[in-house]
Amino acid sequence: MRCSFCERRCDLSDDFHGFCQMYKVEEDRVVERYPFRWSGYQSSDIEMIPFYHAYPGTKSLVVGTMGCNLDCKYCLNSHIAKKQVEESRLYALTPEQILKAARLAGCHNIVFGVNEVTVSFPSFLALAKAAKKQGFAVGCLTNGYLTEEAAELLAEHVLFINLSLKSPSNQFYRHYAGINDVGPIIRNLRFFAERVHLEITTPIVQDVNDHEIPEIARLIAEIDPCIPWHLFRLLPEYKMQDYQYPDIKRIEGLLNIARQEVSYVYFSNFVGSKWVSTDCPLCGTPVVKRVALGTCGAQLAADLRVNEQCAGCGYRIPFLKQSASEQVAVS
Amino acid sequence: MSVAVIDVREWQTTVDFATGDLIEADEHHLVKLAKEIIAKRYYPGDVDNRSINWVTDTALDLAEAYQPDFLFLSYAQPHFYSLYQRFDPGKWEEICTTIFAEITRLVDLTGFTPVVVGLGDMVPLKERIDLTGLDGLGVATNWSFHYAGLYSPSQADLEQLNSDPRIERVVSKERFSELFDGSQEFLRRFPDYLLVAREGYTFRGFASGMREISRIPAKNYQIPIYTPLGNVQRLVDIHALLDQALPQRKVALILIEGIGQRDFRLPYQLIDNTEHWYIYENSRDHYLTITTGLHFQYGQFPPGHLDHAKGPKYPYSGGFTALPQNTLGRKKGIKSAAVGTRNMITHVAAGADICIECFARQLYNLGTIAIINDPKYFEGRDSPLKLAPA
Repeated sequence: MRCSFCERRCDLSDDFHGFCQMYKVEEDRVVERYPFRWSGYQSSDIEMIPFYHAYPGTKSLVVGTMGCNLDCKYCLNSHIAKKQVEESRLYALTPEQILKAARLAGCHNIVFGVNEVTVSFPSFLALAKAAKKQGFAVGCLTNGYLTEEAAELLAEHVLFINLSLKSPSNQFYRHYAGINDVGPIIRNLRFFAERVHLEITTPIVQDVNDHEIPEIARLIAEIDPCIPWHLFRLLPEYKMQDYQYPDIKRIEGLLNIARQEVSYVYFSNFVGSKWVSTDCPLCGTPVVKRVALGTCGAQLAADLRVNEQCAGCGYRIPFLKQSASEQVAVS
Repeated sequence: MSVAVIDVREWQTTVDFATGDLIEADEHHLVKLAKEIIAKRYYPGDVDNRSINWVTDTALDLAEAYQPDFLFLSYAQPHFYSLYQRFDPGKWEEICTTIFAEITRLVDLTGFTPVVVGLGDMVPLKERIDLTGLDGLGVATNWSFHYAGLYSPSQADLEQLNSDPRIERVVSKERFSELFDGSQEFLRRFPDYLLVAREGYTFRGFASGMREISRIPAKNYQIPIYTPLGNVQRLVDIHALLDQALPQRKVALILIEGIGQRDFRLPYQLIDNTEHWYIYENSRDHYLTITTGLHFQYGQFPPGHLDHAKGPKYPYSGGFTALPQNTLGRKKGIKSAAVGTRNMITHVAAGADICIECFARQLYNLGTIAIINDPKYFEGRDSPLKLAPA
């Protein structure tokens, strides 16, 4: 019997638990080995996850599990995503317990981060359903390598997604991420752009995919030039610890090329980055100021919009806003 | 005004430290100095032994160029090594030897009178006490090992926790404030209940780190201090000792995390490391109590607090929205400098004219940051820094 959550479609017969180690077959059904078990739960500024155009200034309750369906050689979270999954390291938490924590911690939304959402798909969907009922907005990070049916299910349950598009090429994914085909990821990218608030993150590895920035920009622009795009200065870990850090000045030049295609291009994962704030693409007026604190994202410093519009020219910049029940995308 | 220079390897930027706004301040001699030093001193990483040498080398650069009267140093590598790495006696011996050799090198080359404090031994982790099954919310952050906050517990939660042999005590907010008093801000943030673990145990729950840990601070009722400046009885007395010695003598206050009585390699006296039943552990509270002379409950953050509401001010200082003004580095009439491998806490606790520290989060090595508090500003005169927005 094959798993249908991600495009690996692992055959789970003979006690194989899938590439991600997280599923098994029980009574002719694919079920989670560790349902409602989480590697952690904590609150975070939504900008740190990162989402820059969704609910600015709100707190997110971030959950994650263990395992991953890709094998990125530079993985930053290998202590969670690439380790042997051990039940003892996971917390048993019902959706209700997680949502109670979110309420007590003053969180506005729930986000599956840390590792890949499809490796704990049924638990996340149950959490998302409960969260939505209680008025929380729900989002997630994903590497995009999920099946069409899983993508459809995900889009039904979340309002915002940050998809990690590492490269437009099969060659990159084959060499550095352990899969052969970027096709399903681009297919899902197009699908999510239609269905949810979408942001894209691209980890930049020096001399590996930095030359692809213009090509990725063209791809995003063709789908929707208003999709916020986070270029992530990757400090390689795991099997690529000795790789050099990307040269910021070199990337800066490529950012200018990318901006000709995509309206909202950010460059982060280093402290002090000056490319984390949002300027109006029409008149250049600062719209949202952020401070880069390293790690993934940034901290909101000031939301300078007036009635959700640029204070300089009145242009309405796309931001996802308000509560889950309102589910409004301003565009 | 304070300025920060951030170095992320081959790239630097200068910002207003209070707001994070990009600025230009190249003409200021301390900014120039900071830029030069951090450009040549890459931070090797939290668990890397070379980060011990990094502290000394950077401090020597500062001591030579700035000639401070007061030098504050933090060597946190032994703590991070013990916490996150599998314990290797050979490697540990190397760490201890290196630390004390580096301190000796610094003192020999600069002539500073040293005050060296070992913040306490580490012990193997026995078990993590899982708080996630409770009706209430158990908050267990990496800021604290023996302490966790508990919010909105049920009666059953309290009964369970009170009968857990791994837990030393469960203290209500009311009982805590009756015994300890504390600042308004601290008590406002205090959890409904504070949980205290026995030695070898730590908590896990909301906001716990996801990395595996192998050792945690021991219950260090006493910690060692080496100083030729005189006798000290309690942790809070260190501040007065240095306050009296400065500016007549050039003094280096050196904190070593993860090393206590067991591995301290200098002649020492033992000082009381407690306040009532509270035992200090390597953390923000430890540093601030030493540099301000005030016990932890007069600070801003209780252990296990949940309130992370933060305004935009001081984005590089964790939860702090105002920096303590009574630290040793801010003493009037002296020049002060600080170097540390404890990100955020070093500059907050030192309050030095110039501070260089690593910028690391959860072992991710993000670079270094230098913070320049113009000394003339603190003497009440106008800052000579004339900063134009970049």
